[in-house]
Amino acid sequence: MPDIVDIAVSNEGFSTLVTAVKAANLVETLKSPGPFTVFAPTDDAFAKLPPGTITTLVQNIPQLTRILCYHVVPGKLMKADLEKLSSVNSVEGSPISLDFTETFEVKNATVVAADIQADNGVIHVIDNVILMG
Amino acid sequence: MTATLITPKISPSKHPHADIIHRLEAGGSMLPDTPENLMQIIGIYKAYAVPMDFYWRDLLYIAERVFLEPLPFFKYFLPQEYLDLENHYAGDNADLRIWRGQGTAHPELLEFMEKGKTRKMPKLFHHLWHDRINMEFAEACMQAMLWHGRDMGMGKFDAYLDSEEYKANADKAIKAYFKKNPLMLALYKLFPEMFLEQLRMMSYYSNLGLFWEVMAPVFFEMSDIYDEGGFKGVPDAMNFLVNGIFAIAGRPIYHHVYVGDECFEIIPKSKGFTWLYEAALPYVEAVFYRTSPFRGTKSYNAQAKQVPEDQKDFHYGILYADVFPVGTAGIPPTLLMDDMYHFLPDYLVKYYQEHCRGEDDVLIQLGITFQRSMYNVTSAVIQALRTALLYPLDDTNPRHLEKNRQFFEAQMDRFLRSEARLRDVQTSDYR
Repeated sequence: MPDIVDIAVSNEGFSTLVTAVKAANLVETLKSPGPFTVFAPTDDAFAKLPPGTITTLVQNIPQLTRILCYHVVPGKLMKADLEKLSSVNSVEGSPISLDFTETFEVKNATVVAADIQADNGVIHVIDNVILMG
Repeated sequence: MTATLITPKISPSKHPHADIIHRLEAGGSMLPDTPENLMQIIGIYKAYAVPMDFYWRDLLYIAERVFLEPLPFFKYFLPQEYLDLENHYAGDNADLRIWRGQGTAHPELLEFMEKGKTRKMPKLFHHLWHDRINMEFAEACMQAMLWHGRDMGMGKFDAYLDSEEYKANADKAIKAYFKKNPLMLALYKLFPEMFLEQLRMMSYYSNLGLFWEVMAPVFFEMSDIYDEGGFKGVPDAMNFLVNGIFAIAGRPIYHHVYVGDECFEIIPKSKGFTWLYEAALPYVEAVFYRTSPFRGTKSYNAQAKQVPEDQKDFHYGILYADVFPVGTAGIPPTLLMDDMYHFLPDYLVKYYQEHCRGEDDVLIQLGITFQRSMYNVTSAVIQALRTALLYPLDDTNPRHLEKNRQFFEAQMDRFLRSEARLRDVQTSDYR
């Protein structure tokens, strides 16, 4: 089975995420056995950020890494596992709130594709970049 | 964004500040959208940006070079190296160019530093005559961040100041800095915590310097856009700030100290601390909302609970300030008013001459303008947080709009106390 990075690279719509992960030197980590749960923002999600946001982050790798780590949770958590929780702790350290009232929502993002299985974890595709706070 | 952006999908708010909540929900600012307000806030941003260009340079100079100098008599004497320092967000070599102007010190600042309001004379005389930029104001802001930092628990900066890693980094820098001063090294051995606390303060000097390094070009650019006829209203000015907050959100916050040519990374950039989380949000909370009562302006009866028991309830920031009694010599905001007075654009000078007592109470008038302008900056912070953590204003899901509503109402709860000036800035005759 392909790993988390392979899936992101081979699918359309994740080029910004892949570029960011490469810039942040997180490729090796996300190829390691993990397992990880990744909330993966689409290219459209990154495009919603006001101009300049990504430029500054790419210029400052530790800060970019921190934002990306907020999208990663240790362990393999499928949608069914997450439904039992109200929040999970990210690798960055801050909590990520979950809401299943209507659909599957992660903070202010909606999951547009859940439970994409990878060799070293699971990906849930989200329509917004999520931020700590 | 315009005030007619959304058709309401949820029932009207019943909050005492419902009118303002509805304005925020329509993409507006807490400050009403009038040409007079726009003119005032942009004019004062420009007048603020010039001294701020001094503040950030000197804050970094103190954090990086003056450091633990036991008798820092000359900490406000900015060396040429720091005047020539290129702002990371202005000039041709900027990381991200926010202001189209130059990266080195602003020409109006250099002119003022040379002549002051008196005449050209040696720096020392300007300093002793207090004919200079009032760095004491910048230091008061830094102290507010340091003092409230423990309690706020915002970001990761303050917690890091207690870590073993920070203490180890600090230890190396302190020993290197005092390597030729056995007396200070002996004192350090006896009272290490006293030195560490000084170092924490130095780290906040750096934090605030890096924060303001961004804000000065933002305000200069806003002034230039306004002069070119670029802003159509207060929401435009607020949205420029919102975009600026996002653009710079990831800027590193760090503390480097230079001993000779050697650099000691007390808080390295690799910690991942960011401008938004570790500087901007703590700054707004500590300085705009909280600060502390200014000595000598007013008597407080602690037994009558006139001073809150909890730091989180402190309400002595600009958003609550009664500018009139604050306008007293030596009080930090008065020092800022005095600094801004030197750099007012002509249209604002003329405006103040036409109102109240003209020149006689100009510091009060510009203080109130500053208060209006900071209600607009706070609106930008509120809208930026809403964008980052909640939902678009034109979201079609009523549940999301309700969550936005709860957020806006919680923010407005902070202005329910009688000292808040939110209602005052709604009218044009508050000056």
